[in-house]
Amino acid sequence: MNTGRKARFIHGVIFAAALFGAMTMIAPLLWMISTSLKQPSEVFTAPPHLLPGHWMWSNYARAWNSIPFGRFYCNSVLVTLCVVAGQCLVSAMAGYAFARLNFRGRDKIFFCYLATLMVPGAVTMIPLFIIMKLLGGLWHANIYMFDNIYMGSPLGLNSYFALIVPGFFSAYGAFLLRQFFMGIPVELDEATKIDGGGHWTIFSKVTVPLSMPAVATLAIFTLLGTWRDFIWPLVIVNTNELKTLPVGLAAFQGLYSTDWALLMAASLIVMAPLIIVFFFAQRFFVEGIKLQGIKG
Amino acid sequence: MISNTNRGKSFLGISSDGWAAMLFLLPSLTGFLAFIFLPITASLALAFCKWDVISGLEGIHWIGLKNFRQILGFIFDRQTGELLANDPLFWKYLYNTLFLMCGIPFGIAGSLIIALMLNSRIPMTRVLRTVYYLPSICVPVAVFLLWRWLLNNRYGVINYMLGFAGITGPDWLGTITWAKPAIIIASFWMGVGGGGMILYLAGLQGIPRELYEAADIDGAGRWQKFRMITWPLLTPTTFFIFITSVIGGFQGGFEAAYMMTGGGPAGSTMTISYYIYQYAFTWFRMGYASALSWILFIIIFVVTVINWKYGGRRVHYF
Amino acid sequence: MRAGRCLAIILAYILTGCDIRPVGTDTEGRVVLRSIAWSATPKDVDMERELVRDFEKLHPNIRVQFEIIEQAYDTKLLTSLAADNAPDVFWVNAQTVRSYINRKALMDLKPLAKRDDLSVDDYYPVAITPFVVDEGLYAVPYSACAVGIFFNKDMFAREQIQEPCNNWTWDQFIEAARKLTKRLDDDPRIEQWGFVLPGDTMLSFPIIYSNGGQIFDPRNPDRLLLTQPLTLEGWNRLFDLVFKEKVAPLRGEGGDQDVRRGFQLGRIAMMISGWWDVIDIQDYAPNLNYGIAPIPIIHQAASVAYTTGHAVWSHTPHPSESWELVKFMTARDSQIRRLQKRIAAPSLKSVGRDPRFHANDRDKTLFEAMEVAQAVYGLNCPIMMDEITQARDRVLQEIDTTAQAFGRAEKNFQSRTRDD
Repeated sequence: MNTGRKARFIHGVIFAAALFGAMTMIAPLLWMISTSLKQPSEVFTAPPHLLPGHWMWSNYARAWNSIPFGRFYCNSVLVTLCVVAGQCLVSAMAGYAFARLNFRGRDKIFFCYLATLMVPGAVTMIPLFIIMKLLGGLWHANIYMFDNIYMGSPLGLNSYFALIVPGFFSAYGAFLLRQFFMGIPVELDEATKIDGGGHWTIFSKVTVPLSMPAVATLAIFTLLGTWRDFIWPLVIVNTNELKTLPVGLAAFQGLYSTDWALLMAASLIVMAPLIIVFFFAQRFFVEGIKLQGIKG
Repeated sequence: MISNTNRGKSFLGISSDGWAAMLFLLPSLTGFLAFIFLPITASLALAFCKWDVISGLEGIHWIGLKNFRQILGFIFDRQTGELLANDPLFWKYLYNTLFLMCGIPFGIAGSLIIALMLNSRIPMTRVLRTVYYLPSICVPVAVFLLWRWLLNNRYGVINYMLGFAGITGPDWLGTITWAKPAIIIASFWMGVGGGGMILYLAGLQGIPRELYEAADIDGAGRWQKFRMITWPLLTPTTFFIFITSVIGGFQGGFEAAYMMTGGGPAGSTMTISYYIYQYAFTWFRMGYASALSWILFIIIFVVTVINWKYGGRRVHYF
Repeated sequence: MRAGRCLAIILAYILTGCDIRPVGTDTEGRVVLRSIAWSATPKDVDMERELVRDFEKLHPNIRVQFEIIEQAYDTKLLTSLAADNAPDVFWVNAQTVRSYINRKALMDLKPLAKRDDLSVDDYYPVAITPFVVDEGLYAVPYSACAVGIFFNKDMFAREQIQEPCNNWTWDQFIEAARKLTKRLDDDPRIEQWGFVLPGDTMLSFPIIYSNGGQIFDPRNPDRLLLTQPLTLEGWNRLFDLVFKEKVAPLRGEGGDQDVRRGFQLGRIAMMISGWWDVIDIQDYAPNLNYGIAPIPIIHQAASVAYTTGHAVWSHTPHPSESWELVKFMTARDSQIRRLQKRIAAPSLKSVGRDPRFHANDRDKTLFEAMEVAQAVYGLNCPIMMDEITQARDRVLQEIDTTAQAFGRAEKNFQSRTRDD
């Protein structure tokens, strides 16, 4: 009885602490919402106004109409879904090889992968850009789409290929999944082998299902990274028709002056799907498959 | 750790594991070669060249080790008897980068604490998890602008609160002393509920319930359970977070400094990554930027190998 | 629905890949030009697009793929130049243009300008100088803007100070700044500042020029003159505002963003700025009662000009069409349209000097400042700016004296640019 009350008290304290932390975390969102509904003249005041004086709901309509949001959304969804699916598959396969297979040079190759994380992107971007251009040269086709706009080669610059495929490959993903795969008891593999299963069976029937929390974690990281990626889509895309949301968002920021209310409204429109996806997807990695059921 | 039972079968001198590995690595390796190793090799070659980018590929000139000598070299000044670095800014920004990395242990500890809180049986965990993750979802420009206002020495909320405690808050972003701590605080807040927390939450799912039940039977307290079960079984996760945070830390600081201080005051929040970016895209010296990147690479590589050797030993797998 | 559309787009995209035509034309045989620009304020975007549409109406054989790159413009441009895939027409500013000219990335427009009777004499000399090298013309300025002292009229009235006149002096400026700097009785910190040092280093240059100093040798912009006595004295006058006169905060207000907000909120009475802040104030502080005065005279009237021009890529497959676009976008009519919508200040003397286009005294002051303004440019201008900014900050943080800091800046600049 006494321990029960004590446990309840401790949970109460934890809950209060968690709530307090959450309040500081939610501040930027509230601030963004409030700013997005203000008139420009109300955005910067001292002391700051917490709530808008005039509720400018029209800011959202203006933000939505001032750039082709529908088009950008469509592109962002397409690119993000492809990159998430591609990266999870490629990384899981590589992670399996590094965690479960014995082959010569395994650790060396793995460390080479890891080392790629250590070179800053600023100096590899131009070579990658040139590689995409050369790839485009492999397929001499000129594509016209979206009302006859010249797009170039489907493999080269200014293409969905260039937006999506380089995103499949990430040392981070292979590293993350390798670490999780190594935590799965080897006895499970052995049992599958005795039943006559090969590596592909172990991979697809045992390792990956047991690592769903990890795969889901990688998926959410990739989703977040790709959805917000700015610099690569910016340099690779030349037509409005292929632009993604972050590139479109930049329209509200000038060199010397920024339309803060519209920028915040547009940012919220961009963020909303991420918040929803995270809210519903978290069960896959935090409430999802528990190990103990399968272990025995 | 790894099963050795399947070593027997082999074909063309390559074990069956070897063949399987080739197939499993094929998609990954192909892409890595084309989109990652090749650009990285190109940047390595550029580190020995002079290239202003503007004049295109014809403008690349081989200059050997000159970039490296310029970055790492020292000159002895006969008149004053001082040893002067050729590129004093490199050393200064390296120091700044290391200073900003001091936030990493706090970030990891914070992530773990939040993950433990949100993993215990308290109400509304789903909403709370989403809320803690919010700063990572937010568009960076919005978050950093908010922090600039919070930290403003005249109108900022933080100094306003400190005023209640009788403390005259410093000019956070305007003085050399306080600009770095201010950026560490802002980055801590942004990252603490992000990737690290998620990884810990995922890691906590992997710990079998029976272990805790067994500990309960033995009459272990909360702290003992944490010390003996949770922490050891989370070591792979901690190891992963630590390695990637250190790698990220060496390359980081660009976004926060770019938006909050522009690298100032007096370059006190400039990091190596910011410096590389400036050399590459503001000052048209891609060769120098590449050499800087490769020096940074070597530093990160050595640190990671040390982490791996000494940290890897403490990692417990099932 | 949407997913279906996306799928259809991809399929169409892959399947139609057999249509081979010369690169750079569309299916109707029109020439496709690519053009990129940044925007000073978000309002530019609509105006520039409108101008491009009008250009296309005028030239039915040309189609322009026009992009505004607000952030990371340099990254985008450099990447495409490296891969020999640059836009046909792009914006350059005075500070960086010499780097592009020196590396032969820009086409010489002089022959085409001569053919079409476009004279460089029509432009403010300060606007055209950075773009002219060895008789060649490498970009045409569409906008140039000088800077002045923005002052809060209400604060001047409250302190019963006479508003600055057209030839006010440095002493009058300091006098006003002293009166405008106020302390609150119960707060040891200063409540209101007379002036603030600009965040953007280039905005400090007018004071140095006014003092008779120089930043670089106008005959050879790659030679710095930072350690000349008059230059150092000019910097010291600025630093004295912080240390001796105590009429300006010690970098307390952070970057330009905060300088501007401080001015708009009535905490700062005077700041140095240009056309872009006129636009920002319209939006964020529409009720602010402010004026613009020339830079106070120490020895001579001075200002500094921010200039942006249109340049043509030297490898463009369509030089004459690109020139048509440049000509249209920088033409007198386009400049007047921008000015009337209050988007950008003109680079043509005939527009800037025409009283019809002086909508108010503030515009007039800024346009008149163009007559005394100097241009900031040079092959290594970005590195020069970096060194000067660092030197300025070292003095303000009391690490170095002015002479030490700027002596070091000049030495660093030389060692960093020795190979060029």
